[in-house]
Amino acid sequence: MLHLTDVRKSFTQPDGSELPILDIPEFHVAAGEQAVLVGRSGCGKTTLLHVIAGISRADAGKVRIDDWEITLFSEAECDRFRAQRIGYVFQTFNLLSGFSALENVLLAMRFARGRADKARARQLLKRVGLEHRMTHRPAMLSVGEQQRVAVARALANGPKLLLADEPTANVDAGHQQQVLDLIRETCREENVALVLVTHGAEVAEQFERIDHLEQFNRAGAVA
Amino acid sequence: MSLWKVAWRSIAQRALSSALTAFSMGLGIALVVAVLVIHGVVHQSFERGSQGYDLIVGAKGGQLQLVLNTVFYLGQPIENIPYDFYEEFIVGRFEPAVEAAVPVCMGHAYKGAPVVATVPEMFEKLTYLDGREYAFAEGSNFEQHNFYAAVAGATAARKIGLKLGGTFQPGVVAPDGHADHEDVPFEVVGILEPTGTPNDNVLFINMEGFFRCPAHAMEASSAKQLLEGGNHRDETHEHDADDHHHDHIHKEVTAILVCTRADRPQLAMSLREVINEGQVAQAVQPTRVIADFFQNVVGNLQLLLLMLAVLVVVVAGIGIMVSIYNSMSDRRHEIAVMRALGAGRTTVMAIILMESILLSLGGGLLGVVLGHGLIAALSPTIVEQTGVMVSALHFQWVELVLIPGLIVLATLVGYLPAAAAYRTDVAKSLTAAQ
Ligand SMILES: Nc1ncnc2c1ncn2[C@@H]1O[C@H](COP(=O)(O)OP(=O)(O)O)[C@@H](O)[C@H]1O
Ligand SMILES: [Mg+2]
Repeated sequence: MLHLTDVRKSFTQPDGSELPILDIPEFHVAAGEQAVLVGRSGCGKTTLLHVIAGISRADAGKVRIDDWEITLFSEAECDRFRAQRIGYVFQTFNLLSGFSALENVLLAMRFARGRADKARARQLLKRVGLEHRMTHRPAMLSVGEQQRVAVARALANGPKLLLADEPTANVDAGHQQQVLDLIRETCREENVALVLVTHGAEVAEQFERIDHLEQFNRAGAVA
Repeated sequence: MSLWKVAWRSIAQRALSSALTAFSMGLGIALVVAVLVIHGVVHQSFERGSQGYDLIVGAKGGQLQLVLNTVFYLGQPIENIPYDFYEEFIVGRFEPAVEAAVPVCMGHAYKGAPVVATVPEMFEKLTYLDGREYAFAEGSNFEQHNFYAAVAGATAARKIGLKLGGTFQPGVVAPDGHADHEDVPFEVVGILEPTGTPNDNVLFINMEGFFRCPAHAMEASSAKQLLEGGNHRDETHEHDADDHHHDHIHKEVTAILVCTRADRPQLAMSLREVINEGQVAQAVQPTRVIADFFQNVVGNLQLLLLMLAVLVVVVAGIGIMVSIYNSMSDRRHEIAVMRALGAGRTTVMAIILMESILLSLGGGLLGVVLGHGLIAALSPTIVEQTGVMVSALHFQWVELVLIPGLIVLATLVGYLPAAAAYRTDVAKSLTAAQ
């Protein structure tokens, strides 16, 4: 369902020269599949997820999700597509601090479809074990709980693809496994394809499919 | 969850800075409201005084001074005109053009209230506001043969504490505003209902009694004639037995309030021309003089005040802009998160504009409440000074303009921060925080 072909991305450095970050000839994830991408810090994992989600534009190449080639989309189309079909879990949770757990989930629905489904939002929060924390603001939640809200939020609009950017890196050691399990289980339940990036081997080795970004990213070898 | 709610949340998150900026907007709007209401009050109070007669005849000189003096009892006392001239309106050559003519003598006061000597017709033939007739709350009008009778305006009676049957001795107003000497006591025979005109503050006395006060025998013009050689006192002694001996002494009036005949407008116009061409007096149309004065002086002054108030609002608007714009650096990340969740550029821009509109309208609402509260607090003073009743709910139609006006202002000042939100680089802002 996710297909990358010859995706290239480079950043302009302060001295004006171009620094290639991504040069990926081929990358493919099937529907409902769970893939982990491993790479050391700074090798371009976040950049890749941004390109897949349409948050950043690739300099060249194609990103296809199901039958849509999002690299041809306008920015507004990308925004809408991302809202409705892609879930994103950030390394630093990125919950909106002024809003309760429930409202964070509702807002994601609001931005995607213009309206919010309260029943589904509650059900999702219950699923991630936060039925008694719905009206709590992020500041009143533990980091593990915050990341669980973020997972519920990412699944709010029933995406077919979930992108998770080092989702356990900022969670305390005691809860990392819990968060990881939650992501994998919920994706399985909702038949969502998962692309999880990490620099940690202990997370990666739990997956059946492990890809090393540095191996198939030609730019990574240069950097 | 509506975008308005999202905007409101981010206002609430910066409660102190939001409250301060909204408050400064509130002060500006309160100022605008106060200026608008006071404009209405001043306008009304200026228009109210002069109705019921269409000409004021008085000594030659400044038109405005004559009107301010006669209608509003303001400003320095003015010259008098001879009593004979008044008689021209009653029995003389001006009579055909005249419906009613009421003489007034100014320059006296009692405990801060102007004392006006006049004739009973003042309350019988003249009306006030839109043709309303004077009514007495207590007692009745004085009669011409009751020389030392007086009628008190509602406010004057209340302030001084004059009751029916009470007496007072008017004095001449010296240039420093103090009443100089005391005359014969006058008895209050009637207290007027409130009229909402400057007359509420006045004590009216019978002109006949006024002319008979011993002190007046030596008043300005009479005394001058005495020194110039004319000896009126001796002249009057010849008729001492005569009950009307005062008819022959040098009597003067300050002004004549003339109601011309509505059925003969041509005559009325000629009357004004004839008087103004003569040597003795001038005739002015109070409504026109007041309208001119209002437009040229008061109106412009208030326009200036209004402009200043609007300027305060604009400055408050800029305050809102600065406040939101300053918050943008903290919020760039939050905006990037919203964008990553799928909110479009225009959506985040709209949220910022809504914030600006909420702050402006919220401040504006506060300002309207403040402004009207201020008016309510001042209303006793305003009634006292002008006779115009204002309540806290004395809304002006122009105030409705505030709503679209504030929305436009909010959109303008919100544009800069909103554009910053629009331009936010999502990928960069997301990673910057990591
Ligand atoms: N906006 C940017 N401008 C320039 N360089 C960037 C930008 N974003 C990321 N980079 C660089 O690209 C490289 C890859 O970054 P990133 O994808 O965040 O790595 P990872 O997530 O694997 O740690 C890093 O060297 C980083 O400094
Ligand atoms: Mg990263």
